[in-house]
Amino acid sequence: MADLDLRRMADIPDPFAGTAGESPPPLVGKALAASPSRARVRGLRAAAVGIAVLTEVAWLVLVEHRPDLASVSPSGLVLGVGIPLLAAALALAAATRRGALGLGESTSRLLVLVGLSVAVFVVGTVFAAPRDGGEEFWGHTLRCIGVTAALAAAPLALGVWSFRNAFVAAPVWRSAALGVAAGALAAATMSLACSTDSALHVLVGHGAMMLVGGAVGAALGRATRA
Amino acid sequence: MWVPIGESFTDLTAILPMAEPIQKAPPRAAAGVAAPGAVDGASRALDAVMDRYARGEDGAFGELYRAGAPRVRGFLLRLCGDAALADDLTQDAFLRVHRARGSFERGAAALPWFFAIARNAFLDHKRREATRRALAVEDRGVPSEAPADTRGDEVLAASETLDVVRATLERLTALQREAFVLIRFEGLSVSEAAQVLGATEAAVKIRAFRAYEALRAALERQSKGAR
Repeated sequence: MADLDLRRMADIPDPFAGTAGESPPPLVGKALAASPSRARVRGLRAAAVGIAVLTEVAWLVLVEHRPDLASVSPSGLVLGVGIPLLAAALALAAATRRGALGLGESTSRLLVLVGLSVAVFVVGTVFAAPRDGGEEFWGHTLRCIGVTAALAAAPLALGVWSFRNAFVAAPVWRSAALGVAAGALAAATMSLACSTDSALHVLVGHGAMMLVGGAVGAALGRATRA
Repeated sequence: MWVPIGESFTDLTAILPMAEPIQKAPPRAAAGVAAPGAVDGASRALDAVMDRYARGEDGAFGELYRAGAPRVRGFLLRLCGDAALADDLTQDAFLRVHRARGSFERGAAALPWFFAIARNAFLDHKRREATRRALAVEDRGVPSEAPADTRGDEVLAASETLDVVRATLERLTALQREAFVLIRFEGLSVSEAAQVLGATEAAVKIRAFRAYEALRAALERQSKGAR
């Protein structure tokens, strides 16, 4: 792109120079609905994160948790929960970092962070999880996909709600990042709900929702656009 | 009083207490002068007003509108080429600014933020419109005053040049037009424009350059035809 010298644009005159500086008519008529201040929005978002985590904990307490929880090695638990939580944090950062101008992280960096989030989950699971056992794969995995979807739904809905009208640029990508974060949070919960630790099962049964959540988040991008 | 966005506001009397009568800004001195960069004294003042509004100071909205609306309107006018539509979209944009004020980060730059929101308002309008005729130019703009010693044919040539630029801008793709307008006329850097548009810097640079090539070619055709 050495010849893309944008300084040459200066020789193009502005056909609207005479009128572009005019002030528009005053804003009349429509009553402005109440709009929360920055502090209130931050409080709402913090509450949304808290409620999202609580819904995951509630599932573990009220619906199911792995029967062998007491016998799982501490390192296994840390890795099983920590790897997807790290992935969730990266994806959430991609969605919410303010960027240089306060418009959100640049699209390039956003995509890198989301990619890193997925890569952390995949690579971490491949290296930390044991190999497959002899159990039936698809029956159990499909069930876990369904459970993970249920676990991701509330965090994703809370995320989209708390960031409604918030993203001024690239709202689809940022909402997708929220969806990836919700899927990763659900995968972390599943490591405490499902006793199958094999790498392939975790990647597909628990981790697929990161991609599905990303797609759903992207589809909800209009709701988060300012 | 309820007024749907999109109708003419010229004969309305219901005025929000916060929006005082706005003085018409003086026209630019000459065509081709680039708009001020995003970072200057006026921009910093605008940032401060927007920060106050984001913190919950409702009374700052009138000041915010007076300070920011002319630049937003200028950007929208260059996007859509229609003064009445630019007025409507400016008001729509500032309603969106109001709704999104809680998401304005402390220390952020207000003008690029406004441009991004205004662009969203423009894109939503385009989606609602069935055909490109809704974006046709209706306001040809106020012709610049010619210096006393300028010959009439030079004035005519300058006017035709501006018409060629305006018509070519209309024919550009939306992506090329917005990239070019932000960089050339609004004074944003490539990096700033990329953040406003939610695109990569490389993509924005290419779009702006393609727009420049199209405009340059149109002007060369016009000058050859005039000889």
